[in-house]
Amino acid sequence: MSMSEPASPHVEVAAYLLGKLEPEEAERFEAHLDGCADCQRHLEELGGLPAVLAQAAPATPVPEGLRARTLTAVRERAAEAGPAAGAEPVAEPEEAGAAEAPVPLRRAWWRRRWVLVAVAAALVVALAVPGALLVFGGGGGEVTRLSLVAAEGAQGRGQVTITRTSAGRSFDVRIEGLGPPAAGSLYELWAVSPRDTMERPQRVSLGTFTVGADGGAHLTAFTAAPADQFPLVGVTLEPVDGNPARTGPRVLVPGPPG
Amino acid sequence: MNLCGIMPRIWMKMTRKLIARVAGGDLGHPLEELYDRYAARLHGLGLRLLGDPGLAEELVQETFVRLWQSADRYDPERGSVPSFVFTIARRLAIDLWRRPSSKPFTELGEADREPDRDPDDVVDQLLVGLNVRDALTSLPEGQREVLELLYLQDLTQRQVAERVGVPLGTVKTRAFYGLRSLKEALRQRDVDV
Repeated sequence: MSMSEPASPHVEVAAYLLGKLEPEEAERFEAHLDGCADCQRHLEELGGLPAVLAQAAPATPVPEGLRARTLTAVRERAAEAGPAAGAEPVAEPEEAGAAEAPVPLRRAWWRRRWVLVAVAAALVVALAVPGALLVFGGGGGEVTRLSLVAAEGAQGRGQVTITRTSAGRSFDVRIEGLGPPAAGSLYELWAVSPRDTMERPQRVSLGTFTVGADGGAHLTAFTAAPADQFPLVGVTLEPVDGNPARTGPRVLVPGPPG
Repeated sequence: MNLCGIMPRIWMKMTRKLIARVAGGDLGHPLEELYDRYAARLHGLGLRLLGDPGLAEELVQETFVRLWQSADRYDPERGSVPSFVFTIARRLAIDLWRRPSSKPFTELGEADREPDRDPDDVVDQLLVGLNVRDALTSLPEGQREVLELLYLQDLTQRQVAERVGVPLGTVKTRAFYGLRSLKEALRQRDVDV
């Protein structure tokens, strides 16, 4: 590379553009620039780069194994489709009209495998759960403390102390500042996976509760659902309709660390 | 292999050949090459837009499945390969983004969700940032490192020289060639500078 490097001061055009020359260096370079066609050309060619560079997204690593999973997913779909591979009717990307219709997403085979992967992933996630403070209790039971904060548009807060025992996890929950639940509704406490969504629920009910006139509640719950899979705690408002699934809005969600 | 020095026209021709081979049923090297070119940006788009690692992976996988399904319909007259790939991804991502069930229970990853904004604008803005990051990542390591330290971490040239352990002149040279390489890398990614 050194063979083809231009001699200084031509290379100073980079530092000049990036605003990295001292005032006297910048003056010297500008004097050089007046008589140097090469530098003038470089300045013009590269002049837009600093503004673009400033927009660089932070680097995020692509998960290990995604390459193999993706290539396998395509190849398996192709194998399923047979010799007419690639001929499935799909809208052409450039057709603006096709963008109007929501694209149905298939629940592909790899999605089922995720469930297995998710257990391992949760082990990693659990180390970085927001709002969790891990304490090793003197009695041998591992104690985790979580704070709960109001979800968007809701009010209230809470503290959860989770004690692991040989039978599972015990949750001591203190809630403050909740309004009375709407008629026909109750608050429901959940142990939740970080991957939980409405469509792919990954949560376990820890029971329902209501609050006193002061908006507070103190309750104890228990579950043997694995802590590495369901490390988070949340509260929703649920209709008393016999449907055990979460259907109502979030009220309390995991708070910031500490 | 560093392809930064290859003229964008040749690069684009090579990319079109990859699509044509995938359309012809070759799901070996051409598919892998396309994955290596686009997966990081697709994954970044999924993470930032959807805020969920699982959905980000779904976006990457489903984009490549659809790329394979529609590769035979790719028409170079109507747009570049990156715009073809990201149009597929954009449609998938916006569909996932709009789906209320994608909203995670936790607040994780919701920073980028601004319900009042047009999802297309959000995707456009994210793609510029991801393309710049991808272009930076494709540079020779020495050049990328110097540009990042100088501009994104705002060190002086001397501080960069000390940090990297090279003479000041090398920092200047790497910055110069780094910017030139970056310009080519951005053009390969359809970013006009």
